[in-house]
Amino acid sequence: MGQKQEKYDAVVLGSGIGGLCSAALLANKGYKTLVVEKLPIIGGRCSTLKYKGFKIPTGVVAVPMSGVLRSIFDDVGANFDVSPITVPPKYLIDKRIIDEPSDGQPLSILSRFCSDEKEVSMLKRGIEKAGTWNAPSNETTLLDFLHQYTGNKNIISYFNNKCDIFFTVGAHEVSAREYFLSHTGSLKDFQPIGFANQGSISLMKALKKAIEAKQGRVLTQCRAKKILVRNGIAEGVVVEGKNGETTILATAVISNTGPKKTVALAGKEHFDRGYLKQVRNMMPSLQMWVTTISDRPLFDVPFLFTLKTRRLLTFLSASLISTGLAPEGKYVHYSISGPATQTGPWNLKNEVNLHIQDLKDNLPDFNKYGEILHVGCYWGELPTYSNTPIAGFNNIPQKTPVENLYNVGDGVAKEGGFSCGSPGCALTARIVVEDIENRFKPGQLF
Amino acid sequence: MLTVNEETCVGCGWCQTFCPQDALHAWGYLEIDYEKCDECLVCIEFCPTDSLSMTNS
Ligand SMILES: Cc1cc2nc3c(=O)[nH]c(=O)nc-3n(C[C@H](O)[C@H](O)[C@H](O)COP(=O)(O)OP(=O)(O)OC[C@H]3O[C@@H](n4cnc5c(N)ncnc54)[C@H](O)[C@@H]3O)c2cc1C
Ligand code: SF4
Ligand code: SF4
Repeated sequence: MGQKQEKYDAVVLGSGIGGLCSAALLANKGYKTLVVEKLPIIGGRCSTLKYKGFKIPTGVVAVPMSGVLRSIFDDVGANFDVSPITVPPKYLIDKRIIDEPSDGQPLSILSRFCSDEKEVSMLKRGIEKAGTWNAPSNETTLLDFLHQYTGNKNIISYFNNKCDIFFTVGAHEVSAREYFLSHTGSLKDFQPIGFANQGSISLMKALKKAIEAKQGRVLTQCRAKKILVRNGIAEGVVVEGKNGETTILATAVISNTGPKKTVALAGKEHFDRGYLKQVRNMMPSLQMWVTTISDRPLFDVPFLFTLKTRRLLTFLSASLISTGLAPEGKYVHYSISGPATQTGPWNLKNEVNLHIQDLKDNLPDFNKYGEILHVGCYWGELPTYSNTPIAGFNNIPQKTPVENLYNVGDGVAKEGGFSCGSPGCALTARIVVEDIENRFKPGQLF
Repeated sequence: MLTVNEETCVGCGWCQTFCPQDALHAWGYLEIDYEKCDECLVCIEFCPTDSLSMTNS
């Protein structure tokens, strides 16, 4: 065929957070590693767009300060340029601002939403039981669970908001089991949260630097065209870069393109029917991000959670933490909304307009001083999450039916416990690299 | 002529931030200002869903 050929221990398809964490860990352990990224920029949904002097996230904005993501940065010696948010969030409900209690107890806030102490204490007991004794069934929604203890609209709106932000799906749809299991898993890493000082792309650049320091390579504008499989074993990948096609032979093929694309790249004949059904049933979720700029802060704390709105979930005054996100003397704010149901279909224009109407109705300073810079919708092929944890959903494991072909990143998870956002993606990298280390040594292919 | 595949475009607005002519505007869908677009092809490279292409006519 005359096609160029190269050999690696591991090839990683995609430079999202799952891909770069895997590659950095592998390179650090001495595996010859190549990352191929189809776009000219790295990071996928953990990157930063620059527009008119302001920085706009492509996804990750709230970065977990502890846990697995942080530990990977420390292990590979990558700079973690993130400032923690030390100011507690505020809640906006029925045009009132509610402060978070300062006792450090996450459930104390419930008493500020409901004056019936008996009801609150029953609910707290129920939540405690779900955490320490047995999480509810995967078929139970969180709303079903809450209704066993309370019908209080404020409390329900609080849980709705929390679910919509962390799971991208409201209490009426989220799996109560995943909700509770996540609290001991990936959600725990979000305490405390920080913002990357120069935008999340700086974290991805730090990982790239760590990979390159260990002789790994990260190629942009290099697209995986086909995953090579023989006798049920992955052998490498055909990539297309600026100089045409190259065959990359590798002992491990790690896809960060999402399980659906992984199947398409390898050919569905290599996967069993059950696996294909699981992948087909994945439900991507929609969120909308609006970037607002101004000459002054539009709110006094970095995190404002907006309850009982039509669509708006949170308003982040990012410049209050990271001054590198806006030109000097200017401020940038990110607001997030989600649809009423993740099962769609949605009228996106209408969804965006409802988001903006909520901003106008709830934030007086937005009307006076705010200017909308950018609107971004994330769903379908570029979802907020690619496998939304609605009740009855199925976790997809990192290992595929094809030997030596792994998925990392969003959409795959550890058994039991939905992997939320960046820590979830980092965890998949950790698990896959540990498996590779147990299975083969660097240089096995040569 | 720059064409957007409405079936796959999600309205992320990434392309808007890379266009040197300010010819793109995302608002849940993508609007192209053909008066401003000079067919430089930059946006096509940056679209994460491969929804942009240049067609003849
Ligand atoms: C709007 C939004 C806000 C979010 N907010 C947060 C937050 O605040 N905190 C948080 O922790 N998480 C957040 N998340 C979730 C988080 O962004 C994702 O979970 C995470 O970034 C996904 O990473 P990934 O490893 O799956 O890779 P992705 O980001 O999906 O990257 C995959 C990469 O693969 C590349 N690729 C695809 N096909 C090919 C191919 N054929 N060849 C080569 N390369 C290819 C893509 O171009 C891309 O760069 C948010 C997500 C969104 C969308
Ligand atoms: S970058 Fe692509 S998907 Fe995003 S708005 Fe532009 S054309 Fe649509
Ligand atoms: S082709 Fe160039 S000028 Fe036209 S919309 Fe795309 S980036 Fe802008």
